[in-house]
Amino acid sequence: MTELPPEARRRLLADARELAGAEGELLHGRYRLLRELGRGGMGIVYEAEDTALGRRVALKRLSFAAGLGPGLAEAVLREARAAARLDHPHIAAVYDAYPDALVMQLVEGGSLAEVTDAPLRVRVTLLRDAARAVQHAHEQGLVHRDLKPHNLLVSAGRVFVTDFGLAQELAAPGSRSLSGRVLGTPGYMPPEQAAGLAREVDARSDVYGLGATLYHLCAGRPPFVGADVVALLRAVVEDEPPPLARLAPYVPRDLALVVQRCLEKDKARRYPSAAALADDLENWLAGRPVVARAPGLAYRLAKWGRRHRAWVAAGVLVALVAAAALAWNLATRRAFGLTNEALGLAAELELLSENAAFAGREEVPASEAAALEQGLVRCREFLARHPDAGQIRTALGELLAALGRDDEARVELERVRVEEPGNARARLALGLVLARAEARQRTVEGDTPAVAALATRARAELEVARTHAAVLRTLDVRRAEAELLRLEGRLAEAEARYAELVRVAPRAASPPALAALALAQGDPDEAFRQAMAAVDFARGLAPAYAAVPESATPEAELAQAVRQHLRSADGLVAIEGFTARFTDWDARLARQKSTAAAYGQRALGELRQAARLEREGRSAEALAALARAAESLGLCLTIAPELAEAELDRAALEHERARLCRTLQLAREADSAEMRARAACARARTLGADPARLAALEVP
Amino acid sequence: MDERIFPTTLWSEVRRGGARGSARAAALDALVRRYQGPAEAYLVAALRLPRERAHELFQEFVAWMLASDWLAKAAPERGRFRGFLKVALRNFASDELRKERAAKRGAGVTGSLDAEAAPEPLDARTPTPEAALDAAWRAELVQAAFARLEQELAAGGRAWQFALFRDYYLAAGPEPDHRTLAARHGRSLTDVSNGLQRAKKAFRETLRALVLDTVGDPGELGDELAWLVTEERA
Repeated sequence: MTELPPEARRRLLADARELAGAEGELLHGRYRLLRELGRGGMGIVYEAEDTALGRRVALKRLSFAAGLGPGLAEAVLREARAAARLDHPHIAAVYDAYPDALVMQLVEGGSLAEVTDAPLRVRVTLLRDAARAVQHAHEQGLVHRDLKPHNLLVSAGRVFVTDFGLAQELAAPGSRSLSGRVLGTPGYMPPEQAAGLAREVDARSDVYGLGATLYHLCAGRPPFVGADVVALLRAVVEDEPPPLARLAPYVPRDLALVVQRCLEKDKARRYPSAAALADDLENWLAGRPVVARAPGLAYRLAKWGRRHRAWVAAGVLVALVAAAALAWNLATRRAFGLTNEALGLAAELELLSENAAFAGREEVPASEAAALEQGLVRCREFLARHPDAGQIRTALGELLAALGRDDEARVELERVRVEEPGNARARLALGLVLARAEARQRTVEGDTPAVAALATRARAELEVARTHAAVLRTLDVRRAEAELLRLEGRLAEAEARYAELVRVAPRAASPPALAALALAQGDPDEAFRQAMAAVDFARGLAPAYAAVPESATPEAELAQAVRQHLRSADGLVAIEGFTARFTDWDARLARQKSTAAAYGQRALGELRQAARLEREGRSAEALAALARAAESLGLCLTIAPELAEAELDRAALEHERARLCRTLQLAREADSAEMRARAACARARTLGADPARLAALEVP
Repeated sequence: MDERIFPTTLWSEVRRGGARGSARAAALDALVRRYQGPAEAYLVAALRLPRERAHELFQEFVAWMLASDWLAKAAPERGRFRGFLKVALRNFASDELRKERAAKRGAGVTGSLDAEAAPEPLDARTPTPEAALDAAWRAELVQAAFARLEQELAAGGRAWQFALFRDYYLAAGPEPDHRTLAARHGRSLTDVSNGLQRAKKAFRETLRALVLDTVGDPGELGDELAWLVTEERA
């Protein structure tokens, strides 16, 4: 190979320079780049001269354009042109749009990030104006997706929203490419975006962005900070930001409530529109009461429960159960005689479902979400080629269900139901989706006719599944029924059903399910035994793992270990070693943790009961249920005193108790509950609990 | 254009982290070896080593990086691969210096602890290790793109376009004009003009693809390309 002389290298690079932008260059025969104003993920912003009109403009050169395909480049252009149609006194005008550049109004001044020392009313007024501008864009069908102080420029006391539509096109519907990617600035990003759930992003995501900006204007920092992006994204999805009352005590409570409402994790709990936010800011400016309210007791309990589940699920045993369940399902699936491609796909979907189910729908991390999106895309492509592949559609339905996208899951499963009425697995999955919907709705609405109808349908599906089932599938049905009973908390009946299964066909009584049952019944020893049986069983399944593609990123470390071992050539030996190690010293830890987890689960059940009683106005009984929950948590902490999360949970619970005591006029009891809450916080602090959560709980 | 708008790059593969340890290590290994030359240039400048010694040390560096799972520890530095490699090399080199000094002290040479990390001052003409790496990196990229272009055009039955391209850029003195090239290659003027244009375009794409492998996302790609081109002109 010819070694290039330096001069040739220089020439080659000089000729390749259109790969990047530079000052002095004339773009599109009209815009002369004058100086760089700044750069970011989207590209470089220049001050430029429009040589045709002789005016100064801001030109944003989109560096990512080089990485876009023709289809997406077109989408960028289309959206940028839509942004160019926005005409609002508080939106920086877009003059011109090219596939690789946007020409915008030059706003001379600073960003909103630089006005944090202006009087609070001034800051709030600026944000109100920005919210009105954002509303205008929403009415034109444009979502900003990256609202933050740096995108809100201030010139002569006037705010201008910039960069409209820049993030949007990248995840425009139909552009499947980047939909799972995380775009935007993590510290200000709504959780749905941080989780990579592009299709969840809507106008209310901008409400979050505005709220995060307001938070910054009050506290001088975004709601979430951190050097590690992955940890930061996780915090955005899972944690509560430090309360403004702590970071900026001078901020009046009503304004803090407005911010809090914007930053709700659940979109449905935010302001429904940017206009609603602007109105409420207007209320505050005018000294009227704000619409935003402190969230209700039931909601706080629900939120508590979500977090609580997270650490319960983190128990080692649960991870093992998840891994074993995967092996089990794969083996069963092979018996259906799928083609290799379909089997591979099914296996991948299975892995993804498993990960999704394990992570829980609120907590899918961004990397996982991206892998999931890709899996979904591949699956839909496969289905486009083989529309009658009922097994794959069923697997897709199951995956969607595991993601908590029950509505989409139902669509797929209902379709299979119509096309293949005899597909027992689809009917089963549909039955379980319906049952889940029922269980969910029952917690919210109680026993309404709609809930009863759902229950009937769920039962009917399972009934049909049973009628159509072949031998193996019959076992599946029975297993599902047992599972359903477990879901409904009818543990004794579930146990009876499982016992029956074991009698009929010992190998069909899925050990993972039995382990889960035992766990739910608070019998960790039995759960452990069953999980071990599942691992033993999985040892026989190494070939099934050959079909598992590399692309899925498993969530649980332990599940991963099991899978890896099974996949490798010497998997059998490895798994043996793994099992031995596990039964040895790890076992102590695992058993201890799972016992703690069992008590934790019991506490959760009692807490749910408390929430229901409270909703029904039975406050005294709710208080008693809370006391029982506190007792369970206490037991849990006796076993695993290092569980900082549980300590935090205890603090939260005691706060709720105190609140309830006050409504019942039990002042003395309320005081001692508060004291216990404080003590729990102190212990959590020594255990190194998450400071953000701790701070939230320490606020009186 | 790849069907995926932003295909998985080697570096994004490495950066993705998570549990797939072996695939990640393999991707990292492949990337580091691709930029062996620049890495060695760094070691030469940082440790004042002869080339040959740097060559041996590079192998140790790769082993050190993979064994210490450096990537996991380098979380805040995760950016472009070039930056990552610099940080890794800096750490590796200071480890080496420490070891060397310890050995000297052990041999009875007195050393002051205060003088720890700093090597002897450099005179203004000696490039810093970072600058040495950057220069070698740029050369490496252009060289690699040139080689790959040759292969790709030959494989596509367009070796003559590469021949034009090579003559155009490798000529001593000013670039030969199209007429000269047409005469030399027995092609029409139109052929020369089109062929050269296509080869140039293909070269840019090849260069871009190589750079792409060292960044994690499109925003970084633009910045890295900007660096590649601007520095050379400056």
